[in-house]
Amino acid sequence: MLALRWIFWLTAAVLLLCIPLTGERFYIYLAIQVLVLALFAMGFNLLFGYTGLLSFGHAGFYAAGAYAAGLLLMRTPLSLLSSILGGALFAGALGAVIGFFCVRRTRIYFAMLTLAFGMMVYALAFDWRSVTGGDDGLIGIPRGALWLPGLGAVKMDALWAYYYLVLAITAAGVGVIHRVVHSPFGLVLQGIRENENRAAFAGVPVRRYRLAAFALSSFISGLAGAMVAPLENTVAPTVAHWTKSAAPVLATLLGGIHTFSGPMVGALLFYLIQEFIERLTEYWLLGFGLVLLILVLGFRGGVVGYYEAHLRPALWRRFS
Amino acid sequence: MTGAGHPDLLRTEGLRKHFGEVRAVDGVDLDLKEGVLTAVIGPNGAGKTTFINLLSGNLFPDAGRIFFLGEEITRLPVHLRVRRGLGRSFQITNVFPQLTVSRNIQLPLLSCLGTAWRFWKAVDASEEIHRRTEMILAEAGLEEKAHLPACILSHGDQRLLEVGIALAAKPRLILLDEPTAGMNPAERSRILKLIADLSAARRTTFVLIEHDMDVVFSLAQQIVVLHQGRILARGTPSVIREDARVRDIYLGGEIA
Repeated sequence: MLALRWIFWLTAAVLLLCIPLTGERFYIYLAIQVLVLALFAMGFNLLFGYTGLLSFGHAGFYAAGAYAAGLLLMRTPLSLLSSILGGALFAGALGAVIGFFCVRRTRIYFAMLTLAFGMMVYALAFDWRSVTGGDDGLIGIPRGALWLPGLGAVKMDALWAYYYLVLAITAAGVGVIHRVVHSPFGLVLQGIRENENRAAFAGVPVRRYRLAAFALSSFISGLAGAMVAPLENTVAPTVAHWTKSAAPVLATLLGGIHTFSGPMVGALLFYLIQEFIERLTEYWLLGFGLVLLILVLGFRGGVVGYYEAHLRPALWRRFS
Repeated sequence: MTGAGHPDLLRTEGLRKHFGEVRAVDGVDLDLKEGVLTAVIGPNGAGKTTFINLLSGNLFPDAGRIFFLGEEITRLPVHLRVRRGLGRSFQITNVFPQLTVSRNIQLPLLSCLGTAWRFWKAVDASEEIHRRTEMILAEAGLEEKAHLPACILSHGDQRLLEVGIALAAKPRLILLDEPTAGMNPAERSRILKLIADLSAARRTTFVLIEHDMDVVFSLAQQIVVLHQGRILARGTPSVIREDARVRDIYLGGEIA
């Protein structure tokens, strides 16, 4: 069982490291998109799958990270990595403020509050022209160079070079989430998800933990968004639109809510399905909706959840 | 907790809670000493569960005050009462269903040791948490089931687990709301033995709401009878057994 898991992670790592070897800009670009959504969905699921709070406003934090990183790169001498981290920190701080209000409610009321705040971020991005550039957005964000100890400035102009940076940041972000969900803090979050009342009777200040989870989730989502600004060299208000908030929800549902790797697998599926259907029909959303319908109805718990509940036990019986 | 118990473990003054016209709790003055196992009884609708909810912080009273270990806790939030040593179980089983049995115990352990905010170390890294989890599981007789998700345990085991969760928070006082409800005889004797043992060892003081008079009279050192939101009688089991008013409200049936 343990071996199977290692084989899976090792294969994934080798494949991810080899993608730039194809030399195809399209594949590298697509892989970056998948990685960014994977991290975005992992951050989102910290709140959804682990704490039991469904946010419809995470595009707001994704966009906050993207805009802040873009502005830092354009207007300050900060390096590439510092700007991306700065973007994530800004998103985390925004999450702490917005979360302060949102965690006062749960379930549908919580979801509506996050939706409302998400739309406010969109309105700000659209209307605050002097800072955000309005509907044009930020244009001409430099990618800059990466300072590596021992190597000095490494140019990130080539897409494959930037790909490796995105891969490293995503891996680090996923590593952080992995440690957090297996820590006492992560256990408390799951306890709150399972039974809020019982958690309070276990001595847990429930609201404070929810706020901490909210801020951390916003930080990770902002980190994902921050990687997009130097990639595209531009950030437009569409990154803050509420439809963008649906992406991590869908990726998480596809992959599996109550599994660690579900959102990542879901992010991959999200883009694979999109690419595949786009080749068949221009109405890709229609096809996507159908696939989602089948997966949600047929594979409750997502693809990874289905694997863990049905396929892995079967494999285990066969090979042991 | 050894030696003489706290003389003023829990005290209420004029506690009152009304729901519209219904006076669920209507001026209750009660004081409890540490180490005295108390049963709260009364016919349906007497206000027992509301009373417990006021003590535990699920509800706030309309009037009156509550003191725990000499300090006022009338409007203290639940988690702070738990930190001070006031725990409870519920009438309807209330565990963390998808977490394993040992995780159910570890959560209150961590939170009451003040280490639950640690986010960079694995839960299993702490030797002390591990040791104390084992101890509580052994007391509740759930060692063999430590790695099962709580939701697949039998009803009786879930109730034992709930007492275990309450114990893990190191309580001075545990409120148990119908601990034996829905249990088969074997499960019932297990949980009663657990309560009796813990109480005899002076680990914690129990207050329980119970309908089963066999349980009440075999376990309790003190009985409080609630009727229409007020204390009708209070005393040792033998005194209560002889009380004419108590016989009246129970129509002489169960208590005879």
